[in-house]
Amino acid sequence: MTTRTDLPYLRRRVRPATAPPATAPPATAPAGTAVADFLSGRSVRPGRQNPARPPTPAPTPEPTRPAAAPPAVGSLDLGGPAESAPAPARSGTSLDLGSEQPAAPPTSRSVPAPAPGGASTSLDLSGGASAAAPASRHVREQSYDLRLPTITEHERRVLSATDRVVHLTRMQSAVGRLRIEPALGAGEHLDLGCVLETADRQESIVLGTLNRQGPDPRRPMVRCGGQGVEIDLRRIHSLSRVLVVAVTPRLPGGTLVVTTYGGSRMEITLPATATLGAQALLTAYVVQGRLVLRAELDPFSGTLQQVCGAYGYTDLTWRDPATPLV
Amino acid sequence: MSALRKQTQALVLEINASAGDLPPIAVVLARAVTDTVASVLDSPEVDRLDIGVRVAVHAVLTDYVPGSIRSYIGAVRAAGDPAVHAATAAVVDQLTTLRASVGDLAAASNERDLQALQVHGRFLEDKFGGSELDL
Repeated sequence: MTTRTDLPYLRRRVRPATAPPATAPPATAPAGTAVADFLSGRSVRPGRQNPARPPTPAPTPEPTRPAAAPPAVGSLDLGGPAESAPAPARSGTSLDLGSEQPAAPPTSRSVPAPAPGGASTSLDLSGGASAAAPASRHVREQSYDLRLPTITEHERRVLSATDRVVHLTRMQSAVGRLRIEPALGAGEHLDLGCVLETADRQESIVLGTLNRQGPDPRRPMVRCGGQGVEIDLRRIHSLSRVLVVAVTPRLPGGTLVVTTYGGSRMEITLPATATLGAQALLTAYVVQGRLVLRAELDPFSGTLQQVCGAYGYTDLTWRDPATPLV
Repeated sequence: MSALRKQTQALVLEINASAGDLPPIAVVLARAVTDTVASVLDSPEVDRLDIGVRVAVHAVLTDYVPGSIRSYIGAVRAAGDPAVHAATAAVVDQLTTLRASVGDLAAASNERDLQALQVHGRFLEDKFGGSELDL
C-alpha cells in the first residue's frame, strides 16, 4: 500500500487542533491512512486523546522538546525520551499502546541515553550484568569412603546385631529391583509397609492393605503386595531413604529376606512377639547413589504413626494412628 | 555399663528421629558410631574398661554426636538451603572423626590392649573434653 502525498490536509486532520468526539472517527480520513498513521506512531488511538493537553506537534525533525534528558520511564521503553510535560491522570507505563506521548523522532531512536536518575532497563544486554559468568548449578559431590561391609553376588548373609549393615555397590543399587519378602511358616501371614522419602524431600507411605504402589501410581518406585515389598532401583537417585515396617499386631517369627538383582541375599530373623501395631524392620539410605541397608532389630514397637515418627517421617498425615492419609 | 547402654539407645532414638532433617550420609555415620560403641559395650571384657574410656564413650554418646547433629539442624534451619552444602561437609567431617576415634577404642578393646585404651581415652578426653578454661 502506498501513501498518497498529494493530499497533505488529510494527514493533518489526524491530529486536529480541536479534537473530534471520541466515538466519531474522522469522516474524511481514509481508514487505511489512519491505521497507518496509528501504527507508525504519528497518531493515537481514537478516544485516548486528552482534551486538556495542548496539541502535540507533528513529528518533524525540528527540536520542539527540551534537549535535556527527561525523567526515567518504564524499563521496557524502547522509544526516546518522553515529553517533559507530565500526563495529568496517567501513570505513563511504557507498555501502554495508547500512550499520549508521541513517538520519538527518527534522530532520537538510535541509542537511548541513560536515565539521569540511574535507572537502568532490565533488558539492557550490555553492561555489568555480563561481567560475572553465572555459576554452574551442578556441584560435584565429594566422595566419602564409608568403610561399611559390602556383599558380593550370590552371597548369603544373616544380618544380626553385630553385623547389621550392608553397603550395596553402585551396580547393586541401580539395577533391577530390591525385593523384601517375609519367609514364614505355613499358615502365617505378614503385611509389610514401606515409608519413603524422595530426593525432593517428599514423604509417602505404601501399604499392601491400602495403596499398593507409590509414591506416584503412574510411575511407582515402590510396590507392596502379598509377596512383600519391591523397590524399583532404576530410579534410585529419586530416593533418599526407605523404612520397611511390619504392620501386624503380632510378629509371627520367620525371616525377612532381602534380595538384589544379582542374587545377593540378606536375611533378618524376625522375632515371634506381640507388637503395638507396627514394628520397624529395615531401613535403607541412599548415599551417593549407593544403598546402605540396615537391619533395625528394633526392640520397640508402636502404632504405625509412632513408628514413622520415631524414624523421622514426620510429614505424613493420618486418619488415625494406624491409617495414613494417602 | 547399663547407663552407657541406655545412653546408646537414647542416641539411636535421637538419630532416627532426626533422620528427616539430616543428610543420609550423616545418619549412616552416626549410626556407625553407635554400632561401634554398642560392640564395645557388648564385649565380654566390658567390665574391665578403663575409666578414661568410659568417660570418653559417655562424652561421645551424650555430647559429641548429639552436638554435631543438633548443630547441623540448627545451622540449616537458621541459614536455609544455601548453607546445606557446607553444613553437610562439616557434620560429615565431625562424624567421621568421631567414628575413627570410637573405632580405635573398639579395636583396642578387642585386642585387650589396656594401655592403648588408657592412652586413647586420655587423648579423647583432652581432645574433645571440656577444658577448665571453657566458659
